Amino acid sequence: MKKLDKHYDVIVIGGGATGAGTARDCALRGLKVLLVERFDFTHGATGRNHGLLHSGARYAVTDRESATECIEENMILRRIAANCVGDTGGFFITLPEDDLAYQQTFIDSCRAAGIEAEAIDPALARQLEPSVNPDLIGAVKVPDGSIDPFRLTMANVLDARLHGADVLTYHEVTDYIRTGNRIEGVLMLDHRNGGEQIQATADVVVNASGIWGHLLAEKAGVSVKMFPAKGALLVFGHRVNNIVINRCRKPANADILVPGDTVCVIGTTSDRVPFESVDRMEVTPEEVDVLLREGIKLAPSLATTRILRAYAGVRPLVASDDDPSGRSISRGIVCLDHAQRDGLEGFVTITGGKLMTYRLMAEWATDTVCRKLGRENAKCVTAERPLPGSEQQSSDSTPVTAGAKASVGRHGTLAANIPASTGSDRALVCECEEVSVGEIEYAIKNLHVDNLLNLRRRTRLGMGTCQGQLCICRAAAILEKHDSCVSRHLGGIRQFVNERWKGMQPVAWGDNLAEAQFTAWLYGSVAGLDVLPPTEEMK
Amino acid sequence: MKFETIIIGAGLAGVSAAIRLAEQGKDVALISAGRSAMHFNSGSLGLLGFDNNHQPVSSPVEAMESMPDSHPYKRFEAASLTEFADNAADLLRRAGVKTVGNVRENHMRITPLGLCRPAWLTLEQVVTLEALKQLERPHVAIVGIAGFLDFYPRFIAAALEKEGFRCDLLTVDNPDLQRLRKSESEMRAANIARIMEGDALTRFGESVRDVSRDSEAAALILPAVVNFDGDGESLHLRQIVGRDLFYAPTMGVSIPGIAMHTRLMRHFLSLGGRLFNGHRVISAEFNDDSLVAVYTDKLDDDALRADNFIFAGGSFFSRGLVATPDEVIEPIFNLDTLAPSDRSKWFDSDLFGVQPVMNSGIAVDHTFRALRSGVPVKNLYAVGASLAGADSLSNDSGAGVALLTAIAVADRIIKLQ
Repeated sequence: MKKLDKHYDVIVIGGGATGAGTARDCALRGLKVLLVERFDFTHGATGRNHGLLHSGARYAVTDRESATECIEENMILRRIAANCVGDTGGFFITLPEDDLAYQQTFIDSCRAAGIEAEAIDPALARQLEPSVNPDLIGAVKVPDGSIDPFRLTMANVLDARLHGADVLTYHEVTDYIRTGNRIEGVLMLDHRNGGEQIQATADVVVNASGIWGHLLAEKAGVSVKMFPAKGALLVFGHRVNNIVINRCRKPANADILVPGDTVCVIGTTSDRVPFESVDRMEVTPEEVDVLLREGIKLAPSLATTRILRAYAGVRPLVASDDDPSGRSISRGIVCLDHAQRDGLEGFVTITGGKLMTYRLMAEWATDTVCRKLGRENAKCVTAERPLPGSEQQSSDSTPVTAGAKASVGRHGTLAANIPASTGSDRALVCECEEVSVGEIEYAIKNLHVDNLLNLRRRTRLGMGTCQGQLCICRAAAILEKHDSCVSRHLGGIRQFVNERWKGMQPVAWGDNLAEAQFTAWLYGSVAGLDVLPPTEEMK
Repeated sequence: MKFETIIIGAGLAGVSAAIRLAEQGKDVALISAGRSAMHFNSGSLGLLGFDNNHQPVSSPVEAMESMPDSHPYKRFEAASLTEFADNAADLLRRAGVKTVGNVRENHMRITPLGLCRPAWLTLEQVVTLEALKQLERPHVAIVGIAGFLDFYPRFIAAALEKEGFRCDLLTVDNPDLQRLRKSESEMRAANIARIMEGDALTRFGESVRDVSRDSEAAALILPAVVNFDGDGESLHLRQIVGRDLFYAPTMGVSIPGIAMHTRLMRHFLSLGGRLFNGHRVISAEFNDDSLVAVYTDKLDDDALRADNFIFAGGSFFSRGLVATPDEVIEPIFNLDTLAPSDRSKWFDSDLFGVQPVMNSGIAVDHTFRALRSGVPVKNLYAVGASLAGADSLSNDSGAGVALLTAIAVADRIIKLQ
């Protein structure tokens, strides 16, 4: 077993937005940090949601506390994560089948929570957002937006690293180092190096692993009861709407349509699922039906828009500590110092919450860590300090090529570090999303990338309408130059294609089935990848 | 307008049937929507590459007999399969598509990602493992083009090294290619092929010769971006470079595939065939159990009439078949289709496994006449990938099914007339 030399102040488990945000906050407060992720960043719920910058309006009537947290964080993220946020605005529309009286309750609740909410004429709503259901009888304008959780998480990781944090992906925490009633570190499995075991020690370990936090708490001998709630979503082939469209009613299935980059996303469903299923979420035909049926009510043109793929994530709902039956759900952020709660020293769990409140969750977790370490004087600056890439753009550098423009969109001010001096650097690998050779090289060197899935999450490679028809081979060849392992990358192409197929299968009819047949033929019969053994799912 | 036979779809099946009929002096019209899977073909054709257990097949003609009863090959007399396959290869040769390979023994082609795979026929200039084994020493140089991302020298080298070859990896560049690289998305096979003529071709040859000067390789492997349309270009290059040259296919739109298709189309036109290019058939007129006419999107109410019709519209990719959420339909004539009825059984979670839905297609009688409401349409035949049971993906039989069913149907029409 290998042991890391450095002793850390804090080890953060989980490479989602919360874990990355906690690692950043701790690093900014001067702590020695190790961030550990089981697979790739954003592998869990962070990478499987709407990408909605909630105004909080959705919760205004039913959950004032969450609504207030959302609007506060919404305003903070617009400042600190400008490059990850799209200021689309949002509508809450009332349809003939809805109760128009609810609109006033909704507006009053929004205002009480500090959310600007203004009723507008349905005709104006139709004019501002031509895709909206023309039958609407009411519309309320709120400060919703879109947020790219992949960029957001990576920006937090990068800033954590800039401030001294060490970061390990594909390292799974399998157990803790424990002396008496104190956690003193973690045991990890290195998935990339034949499952080597590695030890790392720290004064405090933070469990920020979303739904998997349940299991990681169990391993530490404490109980954090969680309920996995599955949410399914559909991605459409182009950006039907430019303004977020919500239904003005109590939160229900499939009542949010969010534009993001070149696509739009309808969701979500919400169903409790057994814990055993959280690592293999599949979208059912019934879920597709309900998402389509309700989505069409928001924007009728969805009925004739190609569905690119379906996916599902798991919300980590947490049982309230004050309910011994474990049935009642805590709605907000749950930050547990297990020393106080369970008599276990050196262990903190941060869970519950939402993507929207990841920064606040990180702040609470870091406050707890600092208190435990006697470092209360270290103040949180994450509400003011812009994330890397989101600093103010200098106006003198106008990108010239399409790839350069797209990479500024993705990496903000950091795009200046992308090699673009030669024609070979600028050559486009992915034409749908305009990803250049230089951007891929940059991602390999700086963004923890060694397979196609990492690359997709960092650059949107293969996310466009062609769903990675040729770009993934080009990208695989670039990746291969860094490790000279041809068979690994051929297998990677096969896995990547199959990963896309998983998302297409629930909606595989019409153009999607035609596309799937073409893909199977091109990569199977023509390129010959079908004879490779189906390897383990790419993570 | 009236013809003896109208063929809908100009992929490998459609154009082959058209050639077969036109060669017999028949009056044939070919309706092409304008794109074909042939444009992605890497210069090789499969008759039967894999058996039902997805094991590579060494003798296709023997393995064809062991196909399941639903496969179109089973509609042929077992003894006639060799003859049909040889006829198909002859047809290609007459069209100027010169290939190596035969029906008795598959050879190994090298795919764009560098995997070796059984094939029946491969264009003469395109690399095969057998051709490389004929070299005086097992040493090749693979020459990539700077900035061209759809050719994979390192992947091909990995495959050849496993077969005992020594591979030098070289990269060629010159001002012509640099000019092409100025635009971020110009470095694609078709664009490179477009500049490969005249002086630029000569300069490319000289650059290849210069970059490979120190290599002791017995042959060079270049990406298949030279215009294969005539023989002249590749011969010219070989003379300049001064040693054996082979071309390896590239990923995506593929020059060898386009070259094959172009030659077939040209041959059909040279035989006096009529081509409606860029036309999509949108409706049809039946009289009892016979098809009378078809209408295209470009001809308004001008009916295209014929004594016989051949549907070669392809499978899902070519939109010859369309899947709705619940069923598989043939959208032009509303022909009967065979498809798994339960949608939950359409798919396999491994895209490269057997997908039952891909095996669906048009139902035909023993002479390939298409069924409509359970009754054969007297003068409408279906051929190629739109046929039920022709899941060519899992056994690499797509080209064979296209060619053999096209020839069988053409011969039947000739015989009946």
